[in-house]
Amino acid sequence: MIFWQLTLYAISVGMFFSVLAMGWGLILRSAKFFNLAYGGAFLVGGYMMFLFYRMWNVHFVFSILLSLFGSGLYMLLSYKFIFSVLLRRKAKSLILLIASFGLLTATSAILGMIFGNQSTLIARHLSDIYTVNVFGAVLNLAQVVAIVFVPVLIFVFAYIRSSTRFGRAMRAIEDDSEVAELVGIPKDKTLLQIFFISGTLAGLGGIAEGFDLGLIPTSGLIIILPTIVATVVGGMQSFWGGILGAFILAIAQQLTIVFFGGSWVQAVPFVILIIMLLLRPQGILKR
Amino acid sequence: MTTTGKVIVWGVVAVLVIWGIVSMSKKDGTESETIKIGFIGPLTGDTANIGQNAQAAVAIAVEEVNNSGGVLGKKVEVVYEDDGCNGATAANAVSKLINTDKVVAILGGACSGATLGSAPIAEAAKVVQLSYCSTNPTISSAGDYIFRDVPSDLFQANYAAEYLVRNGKTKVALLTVKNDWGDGLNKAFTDALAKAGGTIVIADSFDPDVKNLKAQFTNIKAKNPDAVYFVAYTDASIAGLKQASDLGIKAQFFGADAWDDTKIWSELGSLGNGAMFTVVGTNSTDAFKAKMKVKLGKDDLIYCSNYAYDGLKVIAEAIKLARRATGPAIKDALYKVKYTGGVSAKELMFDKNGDPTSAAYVIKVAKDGKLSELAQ
Repeated sequence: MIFWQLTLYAISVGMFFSVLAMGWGLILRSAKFFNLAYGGAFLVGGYMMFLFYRMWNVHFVFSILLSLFGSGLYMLLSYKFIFSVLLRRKAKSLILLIASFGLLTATSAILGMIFGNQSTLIARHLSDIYTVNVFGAVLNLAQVVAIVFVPVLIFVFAYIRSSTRFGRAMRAIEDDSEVAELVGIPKDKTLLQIFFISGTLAGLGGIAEGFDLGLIPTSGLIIILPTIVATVVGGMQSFWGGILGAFILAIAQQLTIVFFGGSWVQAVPFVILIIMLLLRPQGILKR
Repeated sequence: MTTTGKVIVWGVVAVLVIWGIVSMSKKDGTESETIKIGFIGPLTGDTANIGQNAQAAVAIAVEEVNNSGGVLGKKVEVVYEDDGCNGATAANAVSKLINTDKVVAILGGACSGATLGSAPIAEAAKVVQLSYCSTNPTISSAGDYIFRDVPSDLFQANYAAEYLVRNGKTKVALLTVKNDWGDGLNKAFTDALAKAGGTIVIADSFDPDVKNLKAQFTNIKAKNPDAVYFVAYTDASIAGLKQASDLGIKAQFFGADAWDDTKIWSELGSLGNGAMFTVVGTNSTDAFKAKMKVKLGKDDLIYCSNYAYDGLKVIAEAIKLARRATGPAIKDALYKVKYTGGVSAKELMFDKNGDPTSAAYVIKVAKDGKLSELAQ
């Protein structure tokens, strides 16, 4: 029973990190820098959901749509006013990384001032998130939704990427943005769309976290580190790599708790990262 | 320059010098008319409520001491400093109080980290520091000049272990936060439970910023314990108790004094039903509650404030006993003082570690988001 329960937990955590790694990988491959402000969009999504759904009692569906739009807009504006300017100046990726880190820090500080530094839960009543029995193990509603809904989301994205006009433009920019521009792909417009979509995925993660565990302003940074690890381990250049990495990470974390104890769980992602960088720096999957 | 000019210049200089000396000695005069005591506590930030509440209690105590004739024929004056619940800030505040304000004793801090961070400075300067809210066991050995009037967590762990075993909950799972407070309680509880005749069936810990305890609770559930001793702060407690309830763990949940935060129970609602924890008892009176209400303008009394009030009174008592307001004299007197009729405990005396000799605890139990004291 314990094995089955932990397997289900590993799957739900894997789904959570898959969404985050998918969104983060989009920016990494197209704009080619480590965008830590992704954690900011995670927070914006979660806290907007808290504001609309719990404080202002807006209907669940409207709250979620508004929050996803808000977190997408956050990422879009960050590109428009900060990253596109730096990219046009051909700034080094280190500069972009530092700028995005600054944005993340500012975002979490502002959200901390507005909502306080204590944990913020989105659910109006914790008992609303009831549990479901799955063949002897239990999952709560947030986890069930993740396990059912995330695979659909992943395949929708895989389809958009392989078979639509936007997907082809995206892949062209990933391959070589200058050549893509030469053959007439609107680079700036495509990047704006990519940043928006990436932001909504981060916001979705933030909403899930707020329902399942509660948000604190430092969650943005806490969550971005395992996301980076998952992407690097799975393969930075591959769409499926981040998803594979997310599940490896989730399984490794559960096993660590069972065999070594809970205080090691924060260290595990980085041990995996170091081993991976030594053995296979390009990640498990290539493009 | 003429002779007359020289005379005028020297005359002016002489007047200035005399005026300066007179005004300086006057200032010295006023300083020695009061006895200065320092106060540190979190007046800003996350835990500001605790600090401000204690500040009000200390202000009440000072008024009462001064209205009944002061100490050694002088009035008591308290200098308040913010420590932000943080060791480094507390250390700065204590340096300032000792070197600039020349206080003879310091009350504070509230947080264990702040007290441990500033204690070495007070110890080195031979100034008494008395904490009114820090429960970490290591404060006992922080120094000869370091006192506290709240009991150490060792007492709390003993009380919890004995209560559980007395009620037939002998198989206990232990889950504690990985910091000074949690580690201290983990060790103390393990020893106390073994002494009381119970067994720890599984022990685990988690980082302070982790809230996902699902795998830990899955392990705990598999061991089927009678009780779970779960030591966590507000955020992890809310998330953890929800996850334990998701898993359907039927064991008795038992926590430590940090669970006295009403936010935990209002968030959990009926999910927290039956959870219990120990918290330091007080001897608070209605008269004191009424005074606090006047001072704060609202009905709010945090348990530490009872200890802050008594802390100031006991320092005043010690100065009277010592007949001198110097650090070493106050320290020696504190080890001898016997203070009764306070609002924290009925009787307060210090042992050789500067801890209170007795500790009174109550057990609170949660039901539908509300807390009530368990009748014993």
